[in-house]
Amino acid sequence: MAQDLQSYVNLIKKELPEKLLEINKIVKPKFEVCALAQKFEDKKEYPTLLFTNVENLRGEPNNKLVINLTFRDRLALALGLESSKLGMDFIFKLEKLFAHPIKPIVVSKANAPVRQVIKKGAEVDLESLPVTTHHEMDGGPYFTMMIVCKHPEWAGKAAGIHNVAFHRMEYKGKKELATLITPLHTLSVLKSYRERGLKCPIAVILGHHPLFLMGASARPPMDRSEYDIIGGLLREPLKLVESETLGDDFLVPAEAEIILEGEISTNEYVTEGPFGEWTGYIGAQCVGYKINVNCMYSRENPILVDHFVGHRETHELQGGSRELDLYHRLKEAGCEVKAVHLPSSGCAGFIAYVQIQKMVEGDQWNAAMAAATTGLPKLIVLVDEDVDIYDDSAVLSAVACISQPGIHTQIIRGLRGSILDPAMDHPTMHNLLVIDATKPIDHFFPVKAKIPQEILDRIKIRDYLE
Amino acid sequence: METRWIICIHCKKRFYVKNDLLFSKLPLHCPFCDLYFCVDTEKEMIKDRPTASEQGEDNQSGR
Repeated sequence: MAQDLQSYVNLIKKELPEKLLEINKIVKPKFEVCALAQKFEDKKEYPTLLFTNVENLRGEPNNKLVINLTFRDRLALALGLESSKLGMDFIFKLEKLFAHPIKPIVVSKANAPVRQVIKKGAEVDLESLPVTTHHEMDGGPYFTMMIVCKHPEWAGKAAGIHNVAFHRMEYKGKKELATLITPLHTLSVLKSYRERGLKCPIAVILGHHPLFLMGASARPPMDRSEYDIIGGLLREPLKLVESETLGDDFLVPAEAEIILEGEISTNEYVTEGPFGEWTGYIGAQCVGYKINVNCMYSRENPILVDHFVGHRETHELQGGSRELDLYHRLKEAGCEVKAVHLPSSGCAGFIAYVQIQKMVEGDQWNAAMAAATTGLPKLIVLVDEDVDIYDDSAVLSAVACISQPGIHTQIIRGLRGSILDPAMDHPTMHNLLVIDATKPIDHFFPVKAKIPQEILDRIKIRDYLE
Repeated sequence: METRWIICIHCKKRFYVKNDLLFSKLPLHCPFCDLYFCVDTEKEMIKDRPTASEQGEDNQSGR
């Protein structure tokens, strides 16, 4: 399978041409790229936008950039599914591929397309890239891609494991970035280096095949690398190459578009933000970590991948692995779960819809408790199999007609939440509202009104229109 | 309060910062005019609650 971004773009052009738009006119990186994406979003359209003529930070045109890359219908094609298989078929495919991670292979430097153009030291110049400013009140231009770091050899069980994760990175200068590291695996790596007074070597991956992005958004255990997960998604080993400046045992993706190498200063802090986050709200300006960039390399004519953070693209990328995690927790708890969905209306995290088949009353509350352990939802709605959980209005209709506040609702207080939740009153804790919108099975409840199926099967609209 | 509104000393536009930054001795950075500036947290009237009129402005700013 081709592991590069351009091959994926060609696949979309061939199989879903209406979902890819190429824009060749000059576009400025400050607000204009995202404004175009927003205009489509306002019409509820979400094409992948491939820009061929974006200005860099010096105003020089002819730079390539792509946004809205990771929508589920397009990801389905890359996973070998039909583009219409977007519900539990998509989740079960992910489940199968995540269950079979594949260790990466290391290719020679000569066979790594990402090394076609290399700049080190004084030649490093982030200003030459089309770094976008997304939203009003963003602190500046931001990269929205991935940081690779490696657990050091004194890190116990995770020693030597490469960690890949999405982090926002604010442009601060030709060789400098600022980043916010939330308390997950990357922070754990940083702490390992900080304990010994060392800087943390990192690579920044500024674009790759979307399955690389999808694997990077997964949350494997600390002692498993996302590189293995990505190999599973690709159905073949991910191609890696030795880094240029971080040592031969620090491996970076050979088929990436652009890579920066440098270090995070573990005792040097800078002002970072504000930034429009995955929640759709502006995260406050805060204390961030400083990244010094010492080397940058890329393909000739690379495509910088940008993420429309806080918009539908974020939800579609993050939702897949989160829904799979949710599904697994419910199964492990012994629930008869039929389907799960984290809707875009809840930023693919804060709201969870769970479709279950109750055996006895009480099953629904056990399901809710299992769903709560995923750590993000502040609203869980439990519904029966006949409710379409991919339709917010269908779920709301079930809530309106089947549940009674105070009887079919529970609030659980003080669960660990996301620090980026704009509504958090506490630094780490949120509350959870559970709504049971399942019909009772131990006493009478009315039946939904419907036309007999045999009549619906027989009647065709075209037979009655002249 | 974990987060506070700040008024840029140059362009007078508002943005918000976390307390950890405000009390860290790092400069604040206006995202509108790109100015880095410091606030004297001893001298500034750091209120726990905005006044009614400030709250009204905050609401209009889209909080």
